[in-house]
Amino acid sequence: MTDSSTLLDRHLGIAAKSPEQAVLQLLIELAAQVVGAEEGSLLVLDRSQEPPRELVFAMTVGSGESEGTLAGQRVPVGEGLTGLAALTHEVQIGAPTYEGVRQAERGEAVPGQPSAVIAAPMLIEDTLVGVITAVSFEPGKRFTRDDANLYARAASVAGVLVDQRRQLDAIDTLRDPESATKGGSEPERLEREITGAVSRLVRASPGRLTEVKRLLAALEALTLGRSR
Amino acid sequence: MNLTEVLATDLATLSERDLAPVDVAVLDTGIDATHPDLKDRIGEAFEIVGEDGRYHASARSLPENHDPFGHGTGVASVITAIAPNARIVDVQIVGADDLETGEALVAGLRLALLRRFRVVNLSLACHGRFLKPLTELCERAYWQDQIIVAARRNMPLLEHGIPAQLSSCIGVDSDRLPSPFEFRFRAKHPIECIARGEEVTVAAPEGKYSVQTGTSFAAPAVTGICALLLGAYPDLSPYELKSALKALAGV
Repeated sequence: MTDSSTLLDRHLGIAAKSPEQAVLQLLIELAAQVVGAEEGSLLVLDRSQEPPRELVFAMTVGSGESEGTLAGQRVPVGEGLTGLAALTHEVQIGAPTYEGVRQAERGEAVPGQPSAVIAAPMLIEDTLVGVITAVSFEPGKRFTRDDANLYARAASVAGVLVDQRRQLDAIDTLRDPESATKGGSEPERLEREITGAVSRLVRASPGRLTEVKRLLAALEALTLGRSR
Repeated sequence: MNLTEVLATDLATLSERDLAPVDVAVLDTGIDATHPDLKDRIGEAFEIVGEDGRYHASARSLPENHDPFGHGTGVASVITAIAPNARIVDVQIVGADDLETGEALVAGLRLALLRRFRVVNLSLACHGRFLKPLTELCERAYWQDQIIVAARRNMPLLEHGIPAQLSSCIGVDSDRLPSPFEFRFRAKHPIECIARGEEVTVAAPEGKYSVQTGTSFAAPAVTGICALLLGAYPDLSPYELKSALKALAGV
């Protein structure tokens, strides 16, 4: 498998050789195996772009050839099944396109196209962090609703895993403010610094929490008002 | 209109009759209006455009391919195959340059209400934070005698999908059923209808075809059936239509 640790660290905050990285790999391997896919991939949303416009292949399991070539390749969010899953936040099942109805119903192999694809979004609340995919090249193979459901569950677990890692990082930042400046993308580092600063403010002002709350509410109104 | 007559309807036979045209708005990824199966079936086309956080509908020329993903084309072809009287209105709410589908969905639904398209197909869902505006819009549609058919979410989340789970809409789940005219009605469940959504042969952009699975392709089967019933019985209210669906559904 391709270990694009830098991509995972930069976009998801998942460090190289960490338990989270191993779990993500296992999750994709397992999900791909259960639905009968030859290949499973994890694409991360490039959060360094504002707004994010591309997904990047960060992990591929199963097919030796693709493992070496897909890592780092970019997929525009506005294209293909992966892009559709990213835009709609819905698991999507893909099939080849055919010249005629009969060919479509027979499920004939189409040169250059996989026989079946699943793309499931990884979400934290309603925020997209990536997409996991399953690909089969077996002629006539079609993924079912149950396959998609299983893959969507795997994507949900992967999303929770990334969210947990981020929350643990926020706690680490509280303990060691300097760690906020280490690892992850620039927006992630800024987010950790802000979260850490707010947490320290709250802990340092137990008797003035109402004032802190009002202050934050005013700041939120000001910020959101301006962004609209 | 006689409800007893409606309840005796055979949907497959109805689809062969000359029925009154019914406007069906498809809020989706756009439609390839040049596809042979959809040619002359798309009456109007719009795209929802976002500028500085504001969304508005912009009219588009026809016949052209406005579908970069193929999803909306597939959805529209399910409706036209069932209901020859359906006049499709293409409203593209999922575009290449926007990550916020929820805002575009709200804007697309506003357009559908303003233009009073009789049936609206939503093979998409959006996040819970859009519950309030969508509830208000769907409620308004109900009182304007408009029918909103919405797909259940495929993602295994806590909610069934908004707006599919709203009582003012007809929520649709999918299953493997032999005929597009066959569907089931599930009482006391937010998603009432179950229609054919496994391995459905649909149109794909550039004159091609594909086989698709998911609630996205079950919802338009119910939309097509609604268009048929409204074509034969134009005075049906949303309440009467839902009652008719319950009575006509298989076990």
